[in-house]
Parts: sequence; C-alpha cells; structure tokens
Amino acid sequence: MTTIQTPGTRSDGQTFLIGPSLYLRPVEPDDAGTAPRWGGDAFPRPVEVVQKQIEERLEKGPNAEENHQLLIACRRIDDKPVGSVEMRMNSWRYVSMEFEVDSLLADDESDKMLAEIVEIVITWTIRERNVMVVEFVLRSGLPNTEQVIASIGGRPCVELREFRRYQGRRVAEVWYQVFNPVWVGILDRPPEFPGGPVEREVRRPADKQIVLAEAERLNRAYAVGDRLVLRPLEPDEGGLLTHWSLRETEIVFPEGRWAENGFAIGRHSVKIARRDPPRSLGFAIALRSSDELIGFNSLIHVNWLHCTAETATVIFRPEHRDSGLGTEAKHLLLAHAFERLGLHAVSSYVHETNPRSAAALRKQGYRDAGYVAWDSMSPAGVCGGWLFDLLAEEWRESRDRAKD
Amino acid sequence: MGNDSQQASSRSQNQQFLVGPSLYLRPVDLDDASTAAIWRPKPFPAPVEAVQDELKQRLEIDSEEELANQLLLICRRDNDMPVGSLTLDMDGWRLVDVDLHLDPLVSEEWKSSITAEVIGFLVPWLLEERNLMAVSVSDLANRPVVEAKVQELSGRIAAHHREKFLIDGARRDRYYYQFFNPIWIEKLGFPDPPAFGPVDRHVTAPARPSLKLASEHRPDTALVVGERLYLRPFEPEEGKLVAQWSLEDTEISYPEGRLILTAHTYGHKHKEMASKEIPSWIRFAVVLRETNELIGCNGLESVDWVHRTAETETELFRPIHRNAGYGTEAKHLLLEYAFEHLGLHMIYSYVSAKNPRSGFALKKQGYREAGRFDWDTFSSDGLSGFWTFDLLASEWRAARDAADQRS
Repeated sequence: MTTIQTPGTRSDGQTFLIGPSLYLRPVEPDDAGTAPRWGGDAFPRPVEVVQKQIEERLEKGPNAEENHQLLIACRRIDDKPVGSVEMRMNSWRYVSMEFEVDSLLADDESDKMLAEIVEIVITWTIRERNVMVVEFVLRSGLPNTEQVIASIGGRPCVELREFRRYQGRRVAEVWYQVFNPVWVGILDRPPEFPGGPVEREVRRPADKQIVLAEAERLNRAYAVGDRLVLRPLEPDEGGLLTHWSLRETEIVFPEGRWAENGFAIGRHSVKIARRDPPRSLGFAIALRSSDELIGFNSLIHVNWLHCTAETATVIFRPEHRDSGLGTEAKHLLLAHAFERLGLHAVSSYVHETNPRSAAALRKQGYRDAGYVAWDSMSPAGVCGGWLFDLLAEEWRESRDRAKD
Repeated sequence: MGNDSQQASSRSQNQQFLVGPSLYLRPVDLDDASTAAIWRPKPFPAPVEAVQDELKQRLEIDSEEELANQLLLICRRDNDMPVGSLTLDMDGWRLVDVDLHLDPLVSEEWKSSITAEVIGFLVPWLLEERNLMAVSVSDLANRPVVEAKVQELSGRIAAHHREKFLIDGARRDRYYYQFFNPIWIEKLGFPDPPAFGPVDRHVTAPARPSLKLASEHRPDTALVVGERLYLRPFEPEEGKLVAQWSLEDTEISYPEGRLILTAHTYGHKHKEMASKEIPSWIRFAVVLRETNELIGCNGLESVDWVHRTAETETELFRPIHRNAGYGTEAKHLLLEYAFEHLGLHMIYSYVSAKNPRSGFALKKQGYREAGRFDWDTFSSDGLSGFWTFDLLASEWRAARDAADQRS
C-alpha cells in the first residue's frame, strides 16, 4: 500500500533532530532522485547508480549502518532535501561528521542552512548520545556556521591552508571539535595550539632534483636521492615488515607497538596499484647503494578534485632513524607529489607521543596547523595529535632558495 | 645497420628493422614488469605483480587486436635496458598514432635525442614498409633536435595544444606531428597547412557569471544551472529517446554520416561511466529549465587527473535546438564545472572538418584554433580531416570577467 504524503508533513510528530526550518531523517533508496541537492558528489551519476550505492550502505546491517549513518537534512516547509550529514562513530567515544549543503544555493542561504544542521546534530550528539567529542571539517568563510559552533562550545582546532577548491579559488579547510561538558569537568578543557606562522625557517629543505647519468638508473626507482630511492613495495617483502615490527624497541604511538601482518601489507600494495587514479600511493624506501628496504612512505587520502593528500612515513628499524634518511625520503615523496602529480598541498598528522616526527616535519618545512585533542587513549588518559600543512609553492621556494 | 662503434647487445643483434644507431624497439613481455618505473606511462608506483596483471590483460587477447594497439619498449642497444615505451594505435591499417613515454628520471637532452632517433627509424618503417597513409607522433613542444628530425622526414606540426602537460612542476605544450606517405601525396596532393589561431583573440560569446539559486527554484537533479538550461546526470532509460531522435535526424554533420544509436547501449554506457568512483568520462544531460526537457548531452572525455586536462564534447539531439545558442550556454556550464569545480587547467576539442558550424561555435566560445589532422576519414569528396582547438582555464575566466565588467 503506497502512502501519499502531503509535502511539508513528513516531520510532523518528530521529537528530535528537528530545528526551526529543517529536520534530519535517515537516508533511503528513494533519495537517489535528489542526490545533487544533498550528496556533495562532484560527479553526475544516474539515479540507478546512486540508488545502488545507498542500498549497499543500508544493507550492511543495522549496527554497521548506525555506526556510519547518513542523515538527510530536509526543509520542514516542503520536505525538500537541502543537505546531509554522515556520522562515523568511533567506539561511541568520539564521532566524526561530514556535512554537505546544496552547492547551487547562494552562499548566505547555504551558510544559514548549514548552521542550523550543525546546531541540531551536534547538540543532540553531545547531550543525548553522550559522546566525549565531536569532530568535523568545513571550508573556511562560513560566518553563520562559525557563530553557531562557538555558541555550542565548539572551537576550530586545525586550519589546513588552501586545502579546498571552492568556486574556482582556494580556501582553507577548518577542523572543529566540540567537547562534552561532562568530560571537560572530568579531564579539564584540552589545551589549544594555534597554528604556526606562515613565514618560517626551513632548516632542511629539499635538494636539487637529481638527473641521472645513463649508468645510474635503478630499474624500479620512481625517485632517486643522494642515498635513497623510492620504489614500489613488492608483496614478498611483507615478511620483513612482520619480522621487524616484532623486534621494535621504541614506542612512539599511543596505542603502542603492533604486529604487522606482512602478507596483508604486501597484498594491499598490489591492490592499491590496480586503481587508476589511486587513492593512495605507497613507496618502499630503499638504500641506493644496496637496494635494502629501510622504510615506507606514502601519500594517503589523495583527493584528485582538491589536489591534496596526507603524507606518512615509517622507518622500520632504529638504526636508520635520526640519521636524516626519513627527511631525504620525505623530500623525494614531496617532489613526486608536487612536481609529477601536481598536488597543491599536503598535510600530516603526528601523535603527540611522537615529538621526534613532529620536529622532523618542521625541519622539512611543514607548518604547525593545529592540534586535535582527545584523539587516542594514552598512559596519561587521553592524548591528541598535531596537524601540519605544506603548500607546493612553499616547498619549491625553500628548495630553490637553498640551491641559490 | 646502425653505428658500428656501438657494441651491439645480444638481444638486438640480428634484428633487421626498428633498430637505430643506439636504440631499438621490441614488443613488451611479462618480464618487463620489473622495469615498469622506466617505461610505464603512469606516475603511480606498482609492484611487479600488478604490472604483470596489466600486461596479461593487454597481451592475452586476439593477436590482431594486440597488433592494432601495440606496446613496444624502446631499449638501448649497448645493454638492452629500456629507456621508454611507445604505443602504435592503428586506425584501420591506414593511419597510426604514436604515443611516446620516456623515462622521467633522465635529462631533457637525452629525452630529446631518444625521441629524434626513434622517429628517425620508426616513421620510415611505418610509411615505407607498412604502407600507411599517414603517421601522427605526439611529443613535448620546443625540442629543437626533434623538430629538425621531423623536418628531415618531411613531417609537419599538425596541432599544438598549449600547457597540456605538467612536467617537473612546469606546464609544457604538446605538439602533434603528421607525416604523409609520398605515394598518397602524389595521388591526393599535399594537404593545406593547418591554421593556428592567435593567443590574443576576441571572444564573442563568453561565459556569464555563475548562477546561484534560491532553494525552491533549484531543479532537483541539477549539478550546474544556467539561464535557460541546466546540466544533470543522464538517466539510462533516456537512451530510448536518443535512439529515436538519431533515426529522425535530418542533418548530416559527420563525414561518416548519421549514426544509428542503440537505446540500451547508449543508456548503459552512462551507467558504466558514472559507476567509477573517479570517472575518466564525465557526461551530463543538457535540459531545458522551463520544461525539464532533455535536448542534448555534453561531457568531459579523457579526463587526466594528473595533468588536469580533458576533451570537451557536445551533441544536441534535434535540429530545432541547434543554432539557438543552447550549445554555447551548455558548453559554458560545462566549462564552469570543468574549471571551477574540478580545477582542470586546460581543455581541448576535436571537430570534423565537415562540420564548420561546430568549429565556429567553439571559436565564439573562446577556444583557439590549434591545428588540423588530415586524411582522417572518408567523406563525399575523398578524404577529410578534423580540426582541434584548445582553451586554458585562465583564458576562459578572463573572458567571462571582462564581459561581466562591460555589462
């Protein structure tokens, strides 16, 4: 039996997730027909394709759906969708959210709608669902939304410069956190770390790019430095990672050491190489003199629309740390990211239990972009992590200045 | 055979063709996966196993099919090491497109000399032994050694796409060279030189500023909205309409005549393109705002996410919607999407030389005439070619902003 609903009546009787002009409800397959209003997808997709995506999401089971829920924001006046929020629960301790509002609306109208959605969802999440902290990311330049975030006790914690493309120009990506007052009472309000200055000293800029003489070319290298090369990680090298991970003597992560499953890492390197363009690129770091594998660095969360990525590095054994090899490998990775892939900016995340990596990033030219609090469990209770950013033009400038 | 001072390696020793003084070409094989960083034209690291899978997909096909799009490695004669690769994309055994990729880690000078040497023995082989009518080779612009070799072989620049590549952090132009078989020049005459439009040019129909709507005026499925039109996803069941209109078309715009479109295939293609997370062909339905009536399609084809380029394409299904400015309005919505949303750096377009209306429309919209490829297809008067055009994002924005200031 089909029920025909009068437009504007769908939220009648709804008791929560409802504001003065908008309400939120779970997504359903029929929402595929209005996806450009609420989805934030940059690409045109037929209804059938979006419907299949929604069905795949909803057919994972109630628990999985609840842990990664998509709500549609609609106008109370006519039930028309205007935006959405996707919520990822992390052990019900913190929630990360992604908000979308119809990109065809005028800036002021979309900002006001976003402000209302943010207020409805976050107030409910903190007060009723009792999570410790809510995190979300928005573009800069949303005055109404910024005001609402401040009014509900939220604060910006990270600013990644020029990380988003918006209407043909570059704008910053701002990360926000809203803390549950009950937990602020127990743990105190976490510290704030404002971003570092744009003008900064780069103590270890990139070296000039090496152009190889004919005889020096290593078959598998994608980038070559004085002492290192970056090449693909071969699946059969995974066993070495297991071996070294179980012999690790240093603890730098809040979750401690872990046993790497080399087989899984090896298979993953094959799997990601089959995507074109890939969402992540991982390189084995090898000594140029012996091709010995010493580490792994990667570009993860590559965003081909905004031309951004996150960098990550691991040096497997203590004897190769603190010797400048990580920095040399990082500059090779950045040269690949900026000069060959044309990325505009990169970010990096470092747990606060790992100050050595943070110091290395600053030396390489990264800028302190902020601090995410209460991110992990640690010996002291909870701890957070630092975020860093680096623009392609800054990296090039410091390299060229050092050359001169 | 080649320069005696070179110590010939074992692999090319008895090779009778596709050998130069210091280089030779050979078909790729599975073992070449271990040197993929040198010759594979993708800037993404891939373990040997992944490259081998790719090669199997390419090689485990019908041998005719493999020959029609063959991947050859460019190797050094002194040590058999690859220095790059090329593909021979055959078009009906009449024409061929040669696409070169050289080791990105070697010097610019060496890359130029490799290209010149390869062109020097490959083009004569294609024209004189394989008897093709014409050969196209594309390469970076401004390589004097290569240009000299092209001249020596009586080739010419057919097309010039500005800022098409991102190489070592800088934008580089791309040249397309064309070489014609002398036997066919005798029969058909040498094609007229291609025209290249000026960089400084007048744009008679620039884009209008981006339109922002109140929520109630927003078509549910629109991704970009203009004054009379909007762009939305093409729904597979609309293939039936397009197939019907294709049989009712009264105009012939292509040298190969009108097309018979199959409804299911046309619809399915759009579903397939949109199912890719990061699509390489992004296609829109062009729809009248007033009635929501479908009138055409346009899209960005061959999207290159690294070099930030794409080819634009447009079709208006029925004659009543042609010559009414709809194509231009739809094109500017597409360009707004390409440049402002996706951040593409430049776009290009191809138009049959038998379709001057589309060529005029592109110039009006701000595209620059970027050359012509000849002898591409059969037409009522023998052979016909196609024009190509290019447009930079910065040029499109400047024309839009200048028009906005004037109004």
